Amino acid sequence: MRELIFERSTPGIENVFLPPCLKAPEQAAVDRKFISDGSPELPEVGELDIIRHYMNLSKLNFSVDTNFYPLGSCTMKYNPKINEEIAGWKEFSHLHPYLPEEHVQGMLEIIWELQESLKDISGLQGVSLTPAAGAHGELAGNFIIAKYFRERGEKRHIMLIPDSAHGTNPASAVMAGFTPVEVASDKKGDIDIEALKGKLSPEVAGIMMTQPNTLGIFDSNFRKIADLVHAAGGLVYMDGANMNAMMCHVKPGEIGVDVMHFNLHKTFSTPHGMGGPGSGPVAVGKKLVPYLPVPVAEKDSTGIFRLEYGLKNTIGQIKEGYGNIGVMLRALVYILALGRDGLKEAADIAVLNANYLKARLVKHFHLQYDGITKHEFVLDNEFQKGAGVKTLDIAKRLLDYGYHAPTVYFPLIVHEAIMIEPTETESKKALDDFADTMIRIAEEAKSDPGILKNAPVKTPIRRPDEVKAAKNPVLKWTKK
Amino acid sequence: MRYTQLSGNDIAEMLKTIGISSVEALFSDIPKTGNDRYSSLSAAGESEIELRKRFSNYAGKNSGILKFTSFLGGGFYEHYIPAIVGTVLSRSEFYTAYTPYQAEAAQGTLQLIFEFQTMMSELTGLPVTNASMYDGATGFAEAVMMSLRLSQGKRKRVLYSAGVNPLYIGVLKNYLQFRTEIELVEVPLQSGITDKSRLGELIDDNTACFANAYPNFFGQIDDHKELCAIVKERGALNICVFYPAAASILKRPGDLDFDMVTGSGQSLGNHMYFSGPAFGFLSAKSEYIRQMPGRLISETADADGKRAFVMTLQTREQHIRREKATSNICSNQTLNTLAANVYLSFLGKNGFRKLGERILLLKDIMLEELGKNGIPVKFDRTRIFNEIVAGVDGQRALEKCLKENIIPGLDLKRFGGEGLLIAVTEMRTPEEIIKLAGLLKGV
Repeated sequence: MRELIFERSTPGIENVFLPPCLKAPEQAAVDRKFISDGSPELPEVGELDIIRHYMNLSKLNFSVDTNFYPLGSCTMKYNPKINEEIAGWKEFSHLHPYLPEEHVQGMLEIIWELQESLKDISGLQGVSLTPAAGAHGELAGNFIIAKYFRERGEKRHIMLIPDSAHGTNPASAVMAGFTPVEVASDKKGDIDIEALKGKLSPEVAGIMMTQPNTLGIFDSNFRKIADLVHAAGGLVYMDGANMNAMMCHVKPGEIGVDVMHFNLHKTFSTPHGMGGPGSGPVAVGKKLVPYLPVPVAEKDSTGIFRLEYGLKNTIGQIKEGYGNIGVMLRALVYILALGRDGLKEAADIAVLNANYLKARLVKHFHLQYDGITKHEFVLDNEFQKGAGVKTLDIAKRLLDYGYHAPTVYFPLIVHEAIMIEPTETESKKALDDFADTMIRIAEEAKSDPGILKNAPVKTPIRRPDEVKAAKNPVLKWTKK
Repeated sequence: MRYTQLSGNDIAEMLKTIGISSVEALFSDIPKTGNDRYSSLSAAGESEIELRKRFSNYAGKNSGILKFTSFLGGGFYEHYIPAIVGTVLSRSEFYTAYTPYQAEAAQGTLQLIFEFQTMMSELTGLPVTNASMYDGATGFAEAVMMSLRLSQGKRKRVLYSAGVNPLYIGVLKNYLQFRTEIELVEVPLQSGITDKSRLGELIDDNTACFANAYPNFFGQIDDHKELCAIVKERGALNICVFYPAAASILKRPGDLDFDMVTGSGQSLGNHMYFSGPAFGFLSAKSEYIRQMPGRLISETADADGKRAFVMTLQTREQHIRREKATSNICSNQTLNTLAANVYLSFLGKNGFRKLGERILLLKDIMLEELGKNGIPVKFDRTRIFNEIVAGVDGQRALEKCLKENIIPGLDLKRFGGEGLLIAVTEMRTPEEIIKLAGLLKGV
């Protein structure tokens, strides 16, 4: 059985890390009543065994650096190593946030540079880098919209959200006091314009649209939708999780977007860290700039950088500092490394790779929405279900072949969805190998579906019992 | 730089397979808006050589701080980070993986989080800990919102001590600014600790929670058990903002009757990074699990009966519950929690205790030296873990000490208070403390 670090523990083992004992002052000041009798039960393991424990755990993971990872909507692109190295410099990592500003000018300049770059890429006039993740950026965006209408004395409580949206969208809208109302998609995967018209009213604060959407489709009516929402007095929010497909091709601010967020950990190559840290900067059009979360970095006429807290209508601080600085550093290195020609090329190849994979797979797997797609596409198990094969089985079989599974069962509007996003950093050979494997799995589904239903067999564990965990959750180790 | 890897020939073959003649054809549905109008972003990218030079230049503008001896705290602390932490974090099998959606391909991640939950529950003294929040402030806001949900929307009043980090209070207010039905009420301090009689007056049957800090922003330790009893009597929940390094030597919040414990995990193996990334944690009693935000990992067994770990109770989360989720949180701070795992494993049971003992001792030396130099210490010196409010002018202290490359602490004027908040960690030496106290004399 795989061991937990606690199970490697031997009482009395200790890694010495403090300098020798100090001479104590005459009398200890602290009242003994605050002191605990015992110590928390932390493991007692030597340094070598700790290293072995974590190195061995690392080997149980699939990761971008070890496996093709076509997880749709997550943009699992390569994380360049120069980003890691620069972000690790102690002139950045050792900064206390309350150091006098004149001693952290380099850091403030980096924040400012990234703000300016994202303004350029979004075509919007203001950026705050403080949100810690995409969903946090959505929350900031919803707060901005809520506050904007509050200041104008307009009571608008509905946020329209297409049925193809990320789950975070409705959850974020609710936290800003909005009532999410779903808008259906049409047969092409675009928003159903007639359905939208029927839902617009003076109570609508705005619409949250992911572009390209979770089907990988750029809504052909995007401008029309923005015009309709604006005409009804609402604002247009763009979830920028999929910005990788359109960066430096189109600026959202120029096609009607009022507020958007970026996912630096998707579009701008910062690592996903097993679930985070991410970073979700929020960008806004001119009239919303005073509402941005603070602080934002500003540069004065003499070239001095400072943090501004006094934006007129600000929604305030929503994080304990200035954002996930370590993530921003990596993103800025990446943006500068590519330049806008390189960013545009990244979008080109991300879309080319996805369309190539789609072309290779479309005869073997059913594709519900067959229009032009961008960086990702959504297949399903329609051709395999006759043999009793579910999407989950296809995903699990991929693990046996050494591939991370695509995003499955999302978006919800495709039954048994298989959402594939290869990203631009994969080679043609990697795409071909993956396509060959998918085709092989399609054949297995016909000839021997049991293989799929039994998969995976080559991973560190086989399928885990999730029902048991939900029924009787064991959330921590207990000493026997 | 470019990180794509298609040759011209590859592209030609791929276009042929797709059945189109150019990549541009794939973008025919996107409006053209004249994308040549860029003000700051240059067209050309930079090489690694150029990037290094550019960022060395930025770094150079901060490099003065490397020679500083700092007594800054106030929620962000300079603690020692053992070398082994960086080594483990640099494993790209960890940092280039994502959320463990496929359990069979993510047992490393899932086991780490399970071990993290265990260690944090040991530190907080409460049995259920989630996989992390963004930071201390947002974790605090989420804990308060959780207490509102636990009252089933019946209680709409939130009490918090004025001793909670003002940044956290600010974020809480901003998180709740559109929940106009919620009333936020501050319980004032009396000589640096929560005013017990005012708490008794302000709490009512409409109160969902009382949130306090341990130690508080001014370094003081409250009589938490007594305060918790007052709150409990009215059926409200006790929330603790905890500085987890204090678990090395102080009683755990769970043992003082808190129902939920939250805080910043920066002090556990994470660099300050000018405020982030680090992580927030949230622990609670088992009966509150269904209202917990964020991810939870459970032990279970696989099809062969082998030990396995999975994400569990996902019906609380946004990707399943959408607008009915307990929170919108999706990405969290897992890589930073790994730093805490390695840090706490390395210190171990005995090393962690010794850390606490040393911090207390250095703090005692600081108190003694301040006394010798006639510098007034505000509040009760028997209630201090590692932060001391000295009754000196923060700005003048900074100006004087900077000449000696010392940052003497945090000027409380930044938060509308008075005095200098001096933080002592194991990174400081008796010599540095003696020097600081000498400099503060006569400020």
